[in-house]
Amino acid sequence: MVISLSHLKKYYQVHQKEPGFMGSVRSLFHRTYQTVKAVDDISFEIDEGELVGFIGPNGAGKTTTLKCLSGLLYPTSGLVSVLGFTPFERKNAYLKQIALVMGQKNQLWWDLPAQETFLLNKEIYEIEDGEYKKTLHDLVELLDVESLLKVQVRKLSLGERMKMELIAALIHSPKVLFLDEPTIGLDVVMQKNMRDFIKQYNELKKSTILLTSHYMEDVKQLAQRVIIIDHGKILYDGKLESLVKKFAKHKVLSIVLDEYVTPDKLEAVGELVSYDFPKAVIRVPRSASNVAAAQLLQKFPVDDLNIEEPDIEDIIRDVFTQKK
Amino acid sequence: MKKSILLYRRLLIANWNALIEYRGDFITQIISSLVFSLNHIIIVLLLTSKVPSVYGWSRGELILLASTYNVFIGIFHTFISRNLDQIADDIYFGKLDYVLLKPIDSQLATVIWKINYISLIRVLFGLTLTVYLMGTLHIIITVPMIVVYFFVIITGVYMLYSFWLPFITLMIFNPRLSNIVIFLFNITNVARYPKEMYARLPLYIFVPLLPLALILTTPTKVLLQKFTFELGFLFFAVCIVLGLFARFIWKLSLRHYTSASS
Amino acid sequence: MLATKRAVEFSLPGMRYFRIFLLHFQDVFQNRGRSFIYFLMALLNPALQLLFWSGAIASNAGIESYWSFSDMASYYLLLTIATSFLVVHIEQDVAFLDIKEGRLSKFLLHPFPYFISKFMEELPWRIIQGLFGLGAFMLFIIITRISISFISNPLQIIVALVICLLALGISYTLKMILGLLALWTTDFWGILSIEEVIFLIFGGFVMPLTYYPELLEKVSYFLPIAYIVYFPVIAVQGKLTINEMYQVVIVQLIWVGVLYGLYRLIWHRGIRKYTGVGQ
Repeated sequence: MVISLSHLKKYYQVHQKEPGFMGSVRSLFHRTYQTVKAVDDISFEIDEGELVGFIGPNGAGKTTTLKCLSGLLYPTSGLVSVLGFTPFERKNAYLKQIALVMGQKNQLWWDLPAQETFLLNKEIYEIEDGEYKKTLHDLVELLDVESLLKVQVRKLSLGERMKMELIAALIHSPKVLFLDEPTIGLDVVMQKNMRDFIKQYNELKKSTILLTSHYMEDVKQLAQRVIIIDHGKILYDGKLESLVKKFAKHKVLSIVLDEYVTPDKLEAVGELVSYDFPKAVIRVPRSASNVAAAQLLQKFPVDDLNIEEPDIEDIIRDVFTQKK
Repeated sequence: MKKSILLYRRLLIANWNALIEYRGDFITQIISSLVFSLNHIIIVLLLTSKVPSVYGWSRGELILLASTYNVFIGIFHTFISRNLDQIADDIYFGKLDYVLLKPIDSQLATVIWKINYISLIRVLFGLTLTVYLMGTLHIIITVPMIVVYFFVIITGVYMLYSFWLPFITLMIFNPRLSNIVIFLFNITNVARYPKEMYARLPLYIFVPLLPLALILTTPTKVLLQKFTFELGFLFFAVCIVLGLFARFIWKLSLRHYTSASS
Repeated sequence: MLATKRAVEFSLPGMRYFRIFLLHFQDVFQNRGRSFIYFLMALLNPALQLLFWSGAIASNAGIESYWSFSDMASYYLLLTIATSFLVVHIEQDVAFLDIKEGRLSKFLLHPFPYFISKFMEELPWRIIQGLFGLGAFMLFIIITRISISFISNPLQIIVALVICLLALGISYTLKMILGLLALWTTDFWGILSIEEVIFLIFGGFVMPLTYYPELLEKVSYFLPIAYIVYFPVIAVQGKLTINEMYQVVIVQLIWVGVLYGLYRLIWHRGIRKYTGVGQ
């Protein structure tokens, strides 16, 4: 067990102010505070080499959890263990084995080529020359940034900067990697490049990766296991396929018709999501999907029929809205 | 130890490279440095134009104090102040995270990253003026005097850092106090005047200001051959106490650090 | 009835300025901690000079004949209040936030003059810090029981108020011009450092300008800086006759005119430059 969280809680006291000038004056004499439960009693365990997707809406508690795991925040209560260390003690031996990459924040020196930051990190993490050269070479090759090493960071595009951020974070070959929305703000091509890199890195180095993201593609492509969090609580922890089976109450039947059929006849089979002849999309309860499919094939001139799972985004959105 | 030396060497190189990236600003930064170097000298000349002596310090001695200020503050600005300014920014913008994730002592990490080479001009200016003034005051410069002088200055720089750090950590509790660094630059002006000036104040004001009152008066008294055992003892005792206090406050504050959200 | 009242309220000419001011005041009130720290900075140097002079008087017998401790105390205390109320600090905002970071674009799109906008932003800071200054002043009087004299003649009080208002006008316009210089230079810090030193030396922040060497004193009176803090302070202290106060007002009016004209010139040329590079 590389990562172990047991009943982790992180609460904040937030001052509440009434609007307007009188509200400001009143708050001088009497302040009201609200307790924000950023993380509210969560527990999970992650094994070595696992790549886990940690998803949730804004304010769910994802980043707070990552920061408790990396030692940046002191938990209000609960037990946290990563690689056998207590993160918030921030021992050097622990910090040398982890890395946290935050999508919109950077650690690179703005006015210098990224190479300077790599050399700095080499000294900070006490990496031997030979090991440094090899790791740098491998990462540069994987990310294809050889030509950018000597370019000032301020002159790089966002995607190129993210690649350099990753190299800076991985130069010391951490065993555990926390990625906080690493693809945010990147174009679709760069997002794919990032995903491919993370996947390859996980396979090559067998490092444990905990990744938070808003993009379902990140989760679908990378995560073998998914933890869904909302309002500081875990809603689901398991395989992505099982998530679909557990929460997807419906299946989607996509058909192509040979001849025109009136919508009301199709609605008799299930919920008509869309109908643009010859294509129609019908939503039916999961348990009735086979029966509905048989009905369609028997009663209507169907040229083609597909039974599909609903979009993962829709499922997760349903999970969140159900739990509110 | 080896790690610290190699790391600092790397930082010296990185900071130098960053400086020469902006060659165009060289001249204006040098001018700024010289202007600030002259600033307090002019003020002392103005203040003492009407009074030959104050608090037992003659005009020449007060100007010597001002030139020592340039040496002292030049060293402080070269190695320390920009880092503390950066830490205040990092706390405000939630970028302290990356500092805290590095496997180096977090307090050490508050002072090593930035080196402001331009401020060495103030050191040079201050030293030149000091040597000149020693001549006019007919004081012979000796090697032990130089050694003790620089030792006291370096210790004073550490003392000033230990004075600044707890204030900056206030930002962890109230990130809105982003002007605290400017305030600290201002309050350091207390050091420009002789320690004897503050002895008249009530104890509750004098004690908090004591570190600032000592950091310049002490090395200047070394030059004036008025450095006594009592003064030395007071100086180092205050330095040790302040250093321990700063570390305690820093460690305590980190427990309350709540970085800006993603 | 209420709707009519509100409609009338909004249509009154000064109301939108007042509402904008109130909004900024609220913001500054929320940042009273920062405001207090700025005030402490305004208090510090005068306090140090006062301490210096109290020692100077104690060890130099001749000084008290031309400058008593209570005179000195009133000068430096009034200096603190005047600095808090009258010394504007917009130049860095204008240079770095608005021009360098492009926030000026937002102002250019508003149907509201930039000059007035920034004034509305700055005024609450002056008021709150000025109030801190008044508080410190009263505390000092209560603790030390020093008797401090001011002007008591109603005419002099009115003229002194005019001097203070004009001082604020000079301060604001001068700092605005300084900030706008960032449209032409990449390194604004160099300008700022020179400005800071000139302000300190020629503004009366070290000691009353009348005690400067003659040449330096004359140069001070030629610059607008002395009319921001020094002359308001000595006017309130009662160190000026009524005719001298009128002369100060005239000079201030000239400076307000000159600086405002300079601002208009710089603004029009500068905005052409700013919008020309598509910022």
